[in-house]
Amino acid sequence: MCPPQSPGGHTGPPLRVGASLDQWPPPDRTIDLLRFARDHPEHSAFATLTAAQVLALALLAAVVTAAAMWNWVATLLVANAAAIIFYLVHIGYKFHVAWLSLERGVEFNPSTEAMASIPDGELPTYTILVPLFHEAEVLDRLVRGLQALDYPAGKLDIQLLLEEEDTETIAAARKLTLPSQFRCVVVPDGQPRGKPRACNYGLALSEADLLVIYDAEDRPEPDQLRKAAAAFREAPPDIACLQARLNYLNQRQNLLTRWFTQEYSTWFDLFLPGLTVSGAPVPLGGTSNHFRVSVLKELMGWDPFNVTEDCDLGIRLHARGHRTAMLHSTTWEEANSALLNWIRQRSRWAKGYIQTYLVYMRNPFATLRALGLRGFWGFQMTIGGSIACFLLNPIYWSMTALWFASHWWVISAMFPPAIFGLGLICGFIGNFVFVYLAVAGVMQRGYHDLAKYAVLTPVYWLLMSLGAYKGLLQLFTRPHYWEKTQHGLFEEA
Amino acid sequence: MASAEALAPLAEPKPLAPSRLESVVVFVLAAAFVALVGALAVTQNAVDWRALAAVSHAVDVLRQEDSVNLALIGFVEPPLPSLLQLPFAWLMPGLASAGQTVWMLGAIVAGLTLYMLNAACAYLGLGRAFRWAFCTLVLLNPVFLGLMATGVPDGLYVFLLLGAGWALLRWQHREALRDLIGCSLFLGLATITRYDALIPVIVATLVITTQTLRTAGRWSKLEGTLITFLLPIVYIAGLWVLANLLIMGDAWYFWRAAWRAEPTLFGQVTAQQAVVGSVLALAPLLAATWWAFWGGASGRPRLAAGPALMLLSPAAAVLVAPGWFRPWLARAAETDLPLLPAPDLFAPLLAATLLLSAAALGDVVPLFSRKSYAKEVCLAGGAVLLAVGCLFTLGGEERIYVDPRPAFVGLPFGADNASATKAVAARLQAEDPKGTLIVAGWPGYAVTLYAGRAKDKVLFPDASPPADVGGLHADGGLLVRYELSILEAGVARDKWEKALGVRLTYDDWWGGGWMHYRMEESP
Repeated sequence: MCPPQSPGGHTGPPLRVGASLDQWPPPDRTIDLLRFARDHPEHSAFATLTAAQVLALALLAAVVTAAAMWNWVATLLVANAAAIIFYLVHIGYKFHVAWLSLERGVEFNPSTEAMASIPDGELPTYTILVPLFHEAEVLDRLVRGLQALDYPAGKLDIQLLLEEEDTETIAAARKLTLPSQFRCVVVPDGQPRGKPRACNYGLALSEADLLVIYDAEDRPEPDQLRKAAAAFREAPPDIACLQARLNYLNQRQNLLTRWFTQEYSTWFDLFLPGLTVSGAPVPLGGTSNHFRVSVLKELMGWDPFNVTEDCDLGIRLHARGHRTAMLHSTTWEEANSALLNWIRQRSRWAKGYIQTYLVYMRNPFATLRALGLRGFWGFQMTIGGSIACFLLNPIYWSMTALWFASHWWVISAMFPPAIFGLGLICGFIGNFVFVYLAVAGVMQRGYHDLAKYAVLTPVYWLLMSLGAYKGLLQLFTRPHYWEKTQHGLFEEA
Repeated sequence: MASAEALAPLAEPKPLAPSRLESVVVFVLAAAFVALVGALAVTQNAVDWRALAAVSHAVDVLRQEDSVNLALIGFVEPPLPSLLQLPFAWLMPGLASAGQTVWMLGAIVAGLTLYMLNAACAYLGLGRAFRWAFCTLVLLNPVFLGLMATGVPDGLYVFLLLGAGWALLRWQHREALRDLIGCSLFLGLATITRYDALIPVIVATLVITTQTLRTAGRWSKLEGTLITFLLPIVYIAGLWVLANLLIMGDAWYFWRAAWRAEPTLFGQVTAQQAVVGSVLALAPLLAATWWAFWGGASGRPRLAAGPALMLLSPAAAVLVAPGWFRPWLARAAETDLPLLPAPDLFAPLLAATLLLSAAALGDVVPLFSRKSYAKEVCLAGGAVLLAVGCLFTLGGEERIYVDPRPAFVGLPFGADNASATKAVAARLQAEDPKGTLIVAGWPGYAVTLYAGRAKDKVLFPDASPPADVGGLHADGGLLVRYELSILEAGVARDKWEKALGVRLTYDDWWGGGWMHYRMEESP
């Protein structure tokens, strides 16, 4: 069924392991899946806060408390002024980046001719990592989707990464008859359980030139691998990662998926291309990021303790002098259509962003040196700024409601005229900018009928804030817990 | 980053654009030239009252009360010019009070306009030599120079309409989202610069609708495109309506107030008449513009040249020879027809003319490109004609042409003389009334601005006393009042005495039409 065979140009052991049950290799427990965290604890989210960070936060809390005891209204005023100035800067940055994308947003988009000009024998070998955890129900569809990829089977090493303790998915996988380019890889059980750890295992087994990650429900465009291979061939060597756009199959399933689609369209079609132009680090999306394997191994893969390991890796790539670019190809995913499921997913993202921010702010000067001024600024705005917005928003919404309800004097005191003026700009211009970016995102993507739903986007922001607060709380209770997103809620997905 | 084949832009291939250095040079030269003319104009007491009103509102926001109060932005004039004057008034209060900041804003706007025009010309395929010649002619156009050097809000309107038109033109060529957004933002800002910007908004909406239906034919695309285009405009205009509701208690206060009769050069004219006149005059012009754009969108861009050139002649005529229209305006005023407010037309005409000139030339020039020297001859001829048109077009009454030269001695086209107002303000500076200082009549704001009386004054735009004037602390105060006619001075004084409940004593100083009274307790 699966004759071991080296793909063209590949000199290592066979890439294709095959699919029959007896050919499944046992989990290799000698592979150190936590190597990155062990070798570089300063860049791992294993510890949420370092002692220095705890001290700095305690000091800040002490100063704020002392100031509040001295004059609590003035303290609130200063905090308010700082928050409003932050909002203004953040709004300006987001708009600037989106505009950069509209103005000179570029992405790798090799033509059909350019792709066809590379003979199959000269195509690089490709590892596809598909981490699976309780995904038995989507397995069949996943395999069919991956089979549709237009890439020579002999050059492919598709690893279905199964967690050792996930007997249900393993059992489902055993029932499948897989083509030769697939192999089922059982990841040895251990902690912290989650996608980055499984990917590290897959990376250790990979001997290909390029590597990409897909989630269980992903449907990449069939020519995505060829496109990425052609793009890497043209790209300068410092481009270590190509991020394909992500979007949703079930955009119009319900209001939540419409908003989610708006958000993804804005993020992947407007914001990330703008970031690549601006020279800032790119927080990678969870899937469809294509890497040069050599670079990934040099970086020791993913941090298994970071629940947004993709975001962390994007920053780390930039810090090590590599760059990420966008690939003009879409991977279709299933948008989370159930509210609670959505909040779980969002809380993990928020927790991971906070983890990443804290990791790189352990030594801000080192981060500044590594990322450069523009990169550091982009990191502050993209990672720190996004989370800060989600956490601050409910406070300001509550203050606004309270003021209209009671005209409480403290709120008036927090807004002397100059701050009030800036606050008005935030309120009236800032909110509009974000709503309008949502419109621009769906228009850029071509979902014209979704533009009208952007008007209701502020309700979606409320949900995002809920997720952010849940993530923040969980950071202190279960920092490395991986909130599993349930897939398969959309029938046609 | 990578080879050209691999790295494809999201939109169409990048169009021709001037270099960054060239753009900066154009901006700096244009701004410096207008600043020079504007500064010179101030020394000659040449002003535009509407520009000064914007400065006055900005000063009021910052200084009329102990703290900054945006509610004092004024709710009759559109707010954007005043908002743009805020940083100047904040950073340079002395210069703002002297009316110097009008030309500063005007210079920046002029620089941006020429910067954009130069880029538009490059986009439309015109070479650098021609672009510079064209920009120089525009800069020397007396109407353009007058608007910019005096800082009149219409200059800003020219810039915004030009930006919107250029963005729309590019959108027609490549349907890039950024052009649609750019057009929308420019027009959104235009609605709070001049209220009749509603008309170009309608025209642009028609253009966008036509093209979208023609190219896509899908309702959903039209819906999304129109939402993207109209959302900023509706939002910006909506904010202004909301501000009127929250602060003035009437969502349409700005509109109702604008319908009040105001004294003008031609006598009393209501804004209603002005708007009707404006719409009547603009409709054919904008219809032609739409036609030109539609022609451009039809896939045969050279068709745009025909309508554009048709449009150019009347537009250019109004631009270069406003004197032509003066007799007609005067007749219109006498016969109580809707009055055409000629100065209001300058801005849209100028913007449309500049853009369509560039478009038409960009269309026409390539037709001759195969013939040796034909292109140069054509361009040179066009430039000479434009120059001659600017300088020597015959006009009506005593004016035989719009002469740009007075601008170089501090008298730009369209400016009024503020000598008398400044003289009254200088006298007022020395006064320290115990009661209220009332300034009645238009432009009273200029008197108080020049006098540095942002705080302790009450302004009435009309020379007649309003109904609620009785509540003021009049005893010991001063009344500075503009007399429309010396014959009515006595009657007006009686009215004010009755309304205020005081005795008015005519003081021995006055300037222009401004009379000065001291208010004393009635015997």
